[in-house]
Amino acid sequence: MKKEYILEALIDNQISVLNRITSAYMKRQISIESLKLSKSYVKGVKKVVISSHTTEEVIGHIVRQLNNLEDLHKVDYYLPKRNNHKNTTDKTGY
Amino acid sequence: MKTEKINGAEALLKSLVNEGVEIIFGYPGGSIMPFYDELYNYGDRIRHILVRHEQGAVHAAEGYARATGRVGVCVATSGPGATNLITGLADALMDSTPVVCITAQVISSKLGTNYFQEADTIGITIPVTKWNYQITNASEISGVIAKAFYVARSGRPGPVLISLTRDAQVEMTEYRYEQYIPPVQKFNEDAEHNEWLCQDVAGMINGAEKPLIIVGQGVIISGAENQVLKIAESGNIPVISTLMGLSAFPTTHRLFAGFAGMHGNIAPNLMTQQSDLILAVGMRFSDRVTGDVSKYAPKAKIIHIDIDDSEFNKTVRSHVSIKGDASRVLKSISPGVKYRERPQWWSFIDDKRMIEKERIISRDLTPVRGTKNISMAMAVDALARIGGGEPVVVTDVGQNQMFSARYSKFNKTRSMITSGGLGTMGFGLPAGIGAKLGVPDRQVVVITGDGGFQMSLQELGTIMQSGIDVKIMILNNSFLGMVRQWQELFFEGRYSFTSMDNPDFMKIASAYNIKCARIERAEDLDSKVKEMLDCKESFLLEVVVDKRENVFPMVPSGAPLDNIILK
Repeated sequence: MKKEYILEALIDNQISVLNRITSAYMKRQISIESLKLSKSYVKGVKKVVISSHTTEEVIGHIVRQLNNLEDLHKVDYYLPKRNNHKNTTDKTGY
Repeated sequence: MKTEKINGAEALLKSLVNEGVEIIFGYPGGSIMPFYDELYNYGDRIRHILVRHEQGAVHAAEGYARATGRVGVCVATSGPGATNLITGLADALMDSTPVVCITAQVISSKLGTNYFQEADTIGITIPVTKWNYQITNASEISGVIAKAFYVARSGRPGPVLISLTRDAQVEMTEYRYEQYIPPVQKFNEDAEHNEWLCQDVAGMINGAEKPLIIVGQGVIISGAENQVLKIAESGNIPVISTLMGLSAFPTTHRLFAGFAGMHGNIAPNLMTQQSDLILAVGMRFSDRVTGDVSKYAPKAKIIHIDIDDSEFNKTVRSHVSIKGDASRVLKSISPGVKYRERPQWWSFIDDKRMIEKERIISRDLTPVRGTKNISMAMAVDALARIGGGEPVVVTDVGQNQMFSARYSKFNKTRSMITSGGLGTMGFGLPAGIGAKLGVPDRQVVVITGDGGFQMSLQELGTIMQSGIDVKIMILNNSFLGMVRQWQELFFEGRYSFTSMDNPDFMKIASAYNIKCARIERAEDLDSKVKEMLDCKESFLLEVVVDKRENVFPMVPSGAPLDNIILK
């Protein structure tokens, strides 16, 4: 079922990483509802927050694919409600 | 410590030497000239192969990488030079091939001004590379090149593109080679996998009545061939292969049941549907392997081993997924695997093998419909018999590829080089050149069709100039055979633009000073294939084959694997 999902990533301050993240949406024809790029608490690391409407299966796959990116430290998705937080970057979860 | 200043171009060359690069494939042009000027002095350390088209350079680098396991390197200029690499980069990304492409870029102060031969190389190559980076300062070169090679070969290998502005090539810098040290979390990921889970997996294998091992290219990349052999032999388990996994397991071994997928053997596809346990190693359940995903392996518990966890549960749901290097994971599984006879399972397999032999293979290996014409299967089979499974087979894409996969014999690993995921026509000839330069002691035979050969036949010039010994076998049916087959089967025989009026390939080969022969009759096949293999230099053998030949068996696109068309 399609819902709003928020993707959050911590990336190095390098030109092509943001592009690689948005292209993961582009190639699946998912339109991005909002996108915010901001400083994080670590110098040289930026935080990306993207909201989009899609299914959990698709956003989960996007996150797992982005996890393999160079210059990306952490990526995660959750539903906008705070109590539904789900951590998918746990590598031992499989 | 004071180091001498050198320019960026030389720094790049020093980095390449430090990374162990011996051969680069390239094509010079405007913005890359400072690099080529320095390369002039490095002829004793790095061999440069001048290709005839940048696409040839990247495919050759892929062929080199696939034959050796080392990183293939290619060089091109800015703008058109870089855009000509795109197909090869996409191919390398799909087939997990470690390639580093170095392209030039215009002076950094002119970026974005539509300068002569400017293209947004970084922007264009984002979707087709594992990582890319634009260097604008010579001081960055050492670190970036070290990282580029690390990224290309680590984890699931892939292509990396480094764009180097012209000013970064001429700027003076103090050079010091730095080895790339990956971030701690990435390093740990590669090292660990779940030991006790592996022991459970061994127990699952022992309990299975109809187990099956599927090997993909991951087995070759991680060097896990012996581990697979050990598990298969110690458990008496049949092994099947994907197209990309071919040659990971010796094809003549009694446990090898064949090649799976759309044009695969009958036994592997039916086995998949009957099996109760599938051990899938280093493969990604591509649509050509699974057919209809919802009906794939309905009875099986699937154990998926891969280095890339984004492949888990992507198309096929697995019951157990283990992220890790195939060789290490299998090493943990193999001690627990016990021998079991499973006579019913083996008689099922032998039965299906027999059906294929009677209904497909015997038909493929006889001249077509009462003529003396050669069939494509006969040509590949002749090579397999006379070559004895020793040569590296490099294929193009289409019917020639499928017949090569079905009828070739492989004794050694890294002997099948083909464009699997992207299906790039024109891949064969340049990849063959790269493979031969990577493994000069082995015989390299390119099997190609008349269509694919003409997509990259300019690389005959590379063979001529560099004196490379590559054998080329053109299976000429004067058609784009695979498309023609689909038109016959699914488009009611409307052969829309698939027939080809071909040039005289003998004249083309002679123009490039390459020995050649043309055969049409079955009785000449063995002697000419032998002549080709015995020849000490390049040889082009044109085999004229029947136009109407189709590749069977076939699982139609989107159909379940047990829906096999036999004719």
